[in-house]
Amino acid sequence: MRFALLLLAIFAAGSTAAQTTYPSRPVTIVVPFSPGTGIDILARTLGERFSARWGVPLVVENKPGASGNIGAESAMQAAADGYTLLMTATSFATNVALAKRLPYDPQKSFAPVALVATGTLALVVAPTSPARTIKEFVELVRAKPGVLNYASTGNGTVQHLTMELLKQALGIDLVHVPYKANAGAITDVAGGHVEAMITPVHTAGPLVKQNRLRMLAVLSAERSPVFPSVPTLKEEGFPDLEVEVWYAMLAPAGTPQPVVARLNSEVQEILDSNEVRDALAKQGLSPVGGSPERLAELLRTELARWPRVVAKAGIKAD
Amino acid sequence: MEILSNLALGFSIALTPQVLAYAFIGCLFGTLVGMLPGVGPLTGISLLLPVTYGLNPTIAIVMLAGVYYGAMYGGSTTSILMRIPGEAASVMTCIDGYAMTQKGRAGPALAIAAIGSFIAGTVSVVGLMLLAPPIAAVALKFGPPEYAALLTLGLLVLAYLSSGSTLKMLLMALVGLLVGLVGIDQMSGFARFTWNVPELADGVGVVPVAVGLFGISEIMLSARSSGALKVQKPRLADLVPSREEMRASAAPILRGTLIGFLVGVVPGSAHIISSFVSYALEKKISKHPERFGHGAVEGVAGPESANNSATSGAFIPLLALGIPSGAVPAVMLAALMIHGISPGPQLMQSRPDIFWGFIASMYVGNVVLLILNLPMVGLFVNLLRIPYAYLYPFILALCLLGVYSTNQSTVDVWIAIGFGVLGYFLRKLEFDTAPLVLGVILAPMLELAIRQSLAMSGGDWSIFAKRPIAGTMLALVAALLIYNLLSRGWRTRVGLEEK
Repeated sequence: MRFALLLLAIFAAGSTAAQTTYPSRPVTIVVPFSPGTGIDILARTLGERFSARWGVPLVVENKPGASGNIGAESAMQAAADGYTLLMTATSFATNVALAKRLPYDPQKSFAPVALVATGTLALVVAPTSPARTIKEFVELVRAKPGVLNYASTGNGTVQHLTMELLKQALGIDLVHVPYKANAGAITDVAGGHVEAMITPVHTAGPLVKQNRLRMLAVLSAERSPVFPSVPTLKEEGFPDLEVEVWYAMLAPAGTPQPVVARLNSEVQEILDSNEVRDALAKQGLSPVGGSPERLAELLRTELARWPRVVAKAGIKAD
Repeated sequence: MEILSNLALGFSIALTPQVLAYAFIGCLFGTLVGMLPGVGPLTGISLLLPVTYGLNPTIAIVMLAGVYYGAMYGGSTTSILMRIPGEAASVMTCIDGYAMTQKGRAGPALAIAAIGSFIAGTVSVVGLMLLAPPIAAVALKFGPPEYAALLTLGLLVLAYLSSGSTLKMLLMALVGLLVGLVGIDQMSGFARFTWNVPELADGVGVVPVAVGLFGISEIMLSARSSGALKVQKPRLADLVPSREEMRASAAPILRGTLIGFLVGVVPGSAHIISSFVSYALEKKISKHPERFGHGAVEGVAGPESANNSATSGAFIPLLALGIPSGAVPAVMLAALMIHGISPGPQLMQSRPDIFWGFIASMYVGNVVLLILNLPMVGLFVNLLRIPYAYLYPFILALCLLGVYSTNQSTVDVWIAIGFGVLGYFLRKLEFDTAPLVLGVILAPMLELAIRQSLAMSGGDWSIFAKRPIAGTMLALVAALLIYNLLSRGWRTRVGLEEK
């Protein structure tokens, strides 16, 4: 009994301290993907700055598995006190379209903190491909419907779904060849084993510069600053898809509003520094920031878009 | 002679105290990571990656590469001493390495593994240096059909694993292949045997299965039959390999080096396959194949050389083309790109300091590892003197910790325990569990490669025969199978040996 009281006292002391001075102890940020992935590097880049500014360590915890669902679930179950955060990516929304049962509700289980960064997606083909432009590519595919292939980083991934969206928008038919990861997929496109793939600009960048891949178009509204010569879909007279990969920070639902606001302004200030801008640019990412509402808005758009694509393409994953 | 002046430049960088210090840290960390059951080079490199952000790019890649080949050295230690594969490429080493330990030859096994790794590491760097551009072009010719053919060749190793009943061996391989199919089907997204456990969606990991079947079951057996299975305590004189053991290892080390280098270039988890192919080859050409599985030193020398040599092979597509051939080179690519450097054919011209500094550091790293590992042989072997009552609970805890830390998943821990119990009963019934592990390793890779190929061809199986590299490899597989079926050796393995 005395022990329980003691515990209670410690707990109470801890929580009042937390209310007055957040953060007073280490903050964990769950990254639902493996170490060394783009999102992990991003989280660590932010984490380093957070730790320096706050004087408490921000610890990155990698919980990979099930396209990010395992990590999201573990962050959702954590106490909503601002000491556990989730760094997540586009799959956070696309999983909703794919899974029959999801351990979390992307809107109800989490409080948006900030949209951190976005990355441009591009359509690439092998250097040996007869298609030199996106128009030639579309003609080539239309001439042989269902014969040419495209690579993706796996069934239900953003790269897979985006290509399905592109197929629907352009009225073309390509056969899906899934890979386990980007490295294998991009190697096989460069080797000419598979005709095309959609990939983030920065992962294709070095190979495009060496003429081992040909970049036909970017899928965003504007051209990529890294490849200013590559047109957007809209410029070439195709429907504007405006798909990007995005990275965002969320907190478990019920996290006190002042804590969310504090985190949001920290993210904004970190993103504003030139050093971080440069670090992100090297990974092909554009810093975004903005209010939590901006992230909520993005989630609404994404959650409306992907189920339609998935239903139309007949993709299934559970 | 240009290459010599370049190499001189490389050594002038690699031998500066700072670079040397980081190479040493990388090697040491890699060795430790390799020894820890379940934690492989990928986890090790990923853990160190954030540390490299603030370093200069040469130091970063030198340190990370040190972790990679250091892990290959370290992986052999627990395999040989405790039958616990530190990572998947060490599975083959468990078989004869541990058998040597049981005979009191743990010291020689460790020494041969270290020497083989050293020779393979050094020779393959020469290959990397001289042959990178032409070989890299060949790597690009490897698409899914070629990979499927290579994996089929890897599957052949099963034929050389059976030390007992072939029927039991095939049964084990089949169970392994089935376990390997658990998880979300990559093509259709259908969940197979996942029982609504989200952690199973990505499949059953090789590490928990291998640690369970090999390591945990071994601990249970030893605990149960106190004394009967006891490992012979090593004497001091037994630390050094005998003249015979050295002679028997020489050719397997060289063959393993060559196999590892060539297979390592192939994209994917080729370093694992290289150890299988090397083991199969050594047993095939051995005059006494019956010694394999009972402590044949060739069964340690070949695969250990192969998996080290494969690490150099794996760097070729990365350095020559800027294409990462697998998960580990992909993380190293990320490490370089953070510094704004993209590897590729121009790297040699644009940043000779990085390229040649890296190459030279691999020579240095291999020497560091040999110096680090040979004196430790005695120390490690002495671990076996610790009474089991103290040693085994500690190892068991390390096993479970290693399994957990790979994915921070408790489900993996339960899988390891489950396979530990299964392994205990299987071994009581005299089933060999190695084919099961091989099945788990090969099934997902083989299935994906076959189905990617069929997606590419629109369902036409002739894609495997029409493509020259794939066709040639499959013809080789067929020829080996037919030869085996016809030869007497096969018949004795199939039936006559059974009692």
